[in-house]
Amino acid sequence: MYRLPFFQLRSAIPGLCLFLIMFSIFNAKAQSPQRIISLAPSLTKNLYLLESEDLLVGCTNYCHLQSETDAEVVASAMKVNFEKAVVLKPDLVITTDLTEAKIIDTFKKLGVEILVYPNPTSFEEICTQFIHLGETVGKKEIADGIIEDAKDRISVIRKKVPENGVKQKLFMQIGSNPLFAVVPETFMNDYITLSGTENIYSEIEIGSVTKESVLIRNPDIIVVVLMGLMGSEEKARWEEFENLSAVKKKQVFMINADNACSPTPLTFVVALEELIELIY
Amino acid sequence: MVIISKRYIRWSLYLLLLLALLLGSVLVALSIGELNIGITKVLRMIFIGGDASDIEYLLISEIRFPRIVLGIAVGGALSLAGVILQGIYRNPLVEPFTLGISGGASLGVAITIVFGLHVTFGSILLPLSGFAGALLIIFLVYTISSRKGKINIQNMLLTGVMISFIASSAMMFLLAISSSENLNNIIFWIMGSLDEPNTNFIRLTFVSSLIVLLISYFFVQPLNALRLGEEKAQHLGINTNVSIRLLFILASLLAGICVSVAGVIGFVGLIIPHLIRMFFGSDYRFLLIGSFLLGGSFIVLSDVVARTIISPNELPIGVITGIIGGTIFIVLMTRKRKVGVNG
Repeated sequence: MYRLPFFQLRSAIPGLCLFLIMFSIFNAKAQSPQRIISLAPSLTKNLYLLESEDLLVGCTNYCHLQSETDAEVVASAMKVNFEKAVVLKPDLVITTDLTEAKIIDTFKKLGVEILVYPNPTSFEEICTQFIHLGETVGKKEIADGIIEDAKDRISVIRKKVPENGVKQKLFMQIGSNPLFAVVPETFMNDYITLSGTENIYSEIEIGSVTKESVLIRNPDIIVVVLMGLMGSEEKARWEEFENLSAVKKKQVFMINADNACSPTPLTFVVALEELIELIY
Repeated sequence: MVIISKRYIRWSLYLLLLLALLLGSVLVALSIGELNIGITKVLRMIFIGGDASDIEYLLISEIRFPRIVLGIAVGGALSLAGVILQGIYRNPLVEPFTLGISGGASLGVAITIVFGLHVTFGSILLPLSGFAGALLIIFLVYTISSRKGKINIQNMLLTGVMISFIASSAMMFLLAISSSENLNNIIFWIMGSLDEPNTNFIRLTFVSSLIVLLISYFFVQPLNALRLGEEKAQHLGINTNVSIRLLFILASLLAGICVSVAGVIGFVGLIIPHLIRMFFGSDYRFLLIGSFLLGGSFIVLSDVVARTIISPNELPIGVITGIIGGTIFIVLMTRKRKVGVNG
């Protein structure tokens, strides 16, 4: 007689919790997030583009723009300081699929909504992700405007690209030791397609390649995308191979690695403009 | 006298065999790749020369040949360092990297990458900082384990292993605080590669490995005597203290040079000396040169596999040396159990 009500009460607890959780989720869904933690420098950049930097409460120590707001550093490239993250009371965490699954699970367990953007495989995907982020933070108009602007700029610069004729073969290098190439199914491959050229590695999936294969495929254009002195060193090394088509045509170029490697709509356009100006 | 001369004849035969193996590996490595070139063509290019505008000649002279030279140098040097260190420590598990030399070099390189020094000062800083790291570790192991002018072998080994652990933890610390691009760079550097654009580094490695091979032959007697134990070697009139110090420094410096130029290529320094012992006996007069030659062939062939198996992609050579080397070793050991490996 004594135990029965207690049991009944206890069995009601899960139901009650479920109700509370559902309630809070629906409640949260109803309004856009107010306190965001970003675990990826590129997403932090996108928040700035969307004029939502005031929503940012936490980011990584590699988000360079962080100093302009009062957002706190809560993570390095690999690890998240969960205690600090929880204290900031975020209602949304945004990150890429480079983040460890454990970290994502822990945020879910802590009851924080987490949005994981996969590494974009094309410029189109950069745009859809950007618009999605815009919708999420309630800045859809700004997002649409930026994308429209970016696409306009692309169509202007693409007027320089000849429509017909034989496509030049291009090798885009993003690592020097080991040698690393841009391959299909990455957004960087769109620099190649949009510049009206052809990737010498159009059939492979992994970017680590042998120097031999570059020489055999004999690209007409070599684009080195490396930071600082590394870039000019690598450019000089390619220029030693005087018989390479790219060297004969004086088409060994360097482009800004910071812009080219960052998957945001604005940097993509800037990098593409730089590349097309160099080629044509 | 008759017995001795018979032994030398046998060794000369073995030597010829290993030289032939090395030569064969070099020819295979010159002809196989993304573009296969016939052996006769390769031979013609070696002896007659070729046209610089010919893509095949370009591949052989500019890409494959430097890799092969570095491969022989690194493979030979690591095996030599391994056989020397196993000899002075009288421990079959010692290899050039047991004492933290690779850890020190990796740490040096990681610091350079994390602070972006190679971006400002050029990539020549990577091997230099690697060598500085290796030197620091050698210095630490040496000074910590020598007291009052005497060196304690067992202490030295323990100190080396401990310093190696400290270095790898420091390394993990650096990995934990570095950005994802730097993470990539550090990890790829550690995995090792024979692709070295700076020919001076290749020459340096090759020459220093030959020099150490030459010098090590002055220590054949101490090394052979040490097989009996330090005390018995002393009774035989060997100044073990001096020999051990010099050999340690020589072998470690050589390993330091290798790791800073080609990254951490594991297992070679451990497996090759054991293979030579298994087949040709434990006499250091043959063991030193034998390990050098077999080590060179092994790395050259492993590199062929690394750059062709998933061509046009390239695998890190450490992957191949570990998997192939380890498997071959286990197979051979189970077939030929009777020979001990303890020097």
